[in-house]
Amino acid sequence: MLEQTRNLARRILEEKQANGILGLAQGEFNIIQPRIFSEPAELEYLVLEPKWPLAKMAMRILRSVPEGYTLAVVCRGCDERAIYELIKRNQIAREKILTIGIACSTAQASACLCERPYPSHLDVGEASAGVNPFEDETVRSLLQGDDAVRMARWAKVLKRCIKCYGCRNSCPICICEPCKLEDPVWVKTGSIPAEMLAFHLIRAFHLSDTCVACGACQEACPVGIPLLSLQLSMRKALQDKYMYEAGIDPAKKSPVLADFFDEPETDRDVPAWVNSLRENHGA
Amino acid sequence: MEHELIRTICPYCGTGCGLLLKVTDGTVVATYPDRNHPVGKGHLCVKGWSAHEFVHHPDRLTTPLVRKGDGFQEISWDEAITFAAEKLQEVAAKYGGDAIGGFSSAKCTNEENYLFQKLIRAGFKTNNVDHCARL
Repeated sequence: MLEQTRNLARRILEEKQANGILGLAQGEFNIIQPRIFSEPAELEYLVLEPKWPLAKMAMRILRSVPEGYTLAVVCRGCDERAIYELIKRNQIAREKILTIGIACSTAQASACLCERPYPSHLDVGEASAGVNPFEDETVRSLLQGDDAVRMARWAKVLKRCIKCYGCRNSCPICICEPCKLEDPVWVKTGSIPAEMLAFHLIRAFHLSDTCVACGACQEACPVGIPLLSLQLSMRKALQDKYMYEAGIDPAKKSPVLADFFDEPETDRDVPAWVNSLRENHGA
Repeated sequence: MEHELIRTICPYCGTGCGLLLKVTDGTVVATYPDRNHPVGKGHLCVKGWSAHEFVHHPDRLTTPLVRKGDGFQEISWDEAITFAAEKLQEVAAKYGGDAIGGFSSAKCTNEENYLFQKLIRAGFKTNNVDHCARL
């Protein structure tokens, strides 16, 4: 799989389909870190493990490249979905980016509780079956119970927060500038733990229709808050009610942005609050 | 356009988490946690995550300052070291070494901190030496 990826990357560079390849490099002392490969000879250092989301890094690199520069990114499923979301949000120009899609192993998929451990454009490897995160014991135990029980449970978990902003910083699609979480109107500065509703729920809801379930927030959290579980329910609601999943189709608009009043739903179960909006606000 | 990722250690406290500083054309533009690092293991606190912000900050002090009246005046390193050495020696001669205390920094290397406590202990003959990384 590694050889195949290197060959593909080499071809992309040699045929000048892209000016650089963003991937992981194993360097001195076997230390692995992201790198832009510009010469085919450098590709002998390219490696595929560990999982290291690169979408946000790609976005930042593409902001400072000269005209006509194209970057190819070695992408796992989650990376590709994040890139598609960034394209939708005009953060990455589509013609500037190429993906080299690699499949995740079954072990990686179960470690991430990933429903789609493969990119839609798969170049290397075989897609392994996804995992239903709602079958996971930890996720189930976090999400079960009535409102009061869940509220108390989350309050206890989120109390550990040291407000490092790692969840926001590591998230590939958390890109608003200025960030609401730095605005004292919403989030009190200079105190920890972060307020549950103001900090965590603003973050969670801002990402409700963009979250690609890569788990970068959870991996970055130094106090082990199960942040991915916070997004999973919203992802599921969008899948069930609107047949929408972030990052799958770069052309499909999020239902939050789409004007669904134009086309009244007849064949699907529309949440009750939509009708209440229509009645109360004459939409 | 030159993109580089520089592996380094967070300068803020004695924990010493691993950082990757993203350097674009000689300017530090972003911080990423180092997933290989045995201490941080890909985690950072808010200070580590914003470690790139102070590097080129306009408020950052880049030369030694000496207090003159109500304000400060920029002086050279040679002048600063000579001035500090003279004053410290003066105090030590007059009141003894125990009148002096040294506070070292987590932003220094082990070697620098070793030299610092050597200066205080062997130079000024006092054990009044401590460190902000006494976490």
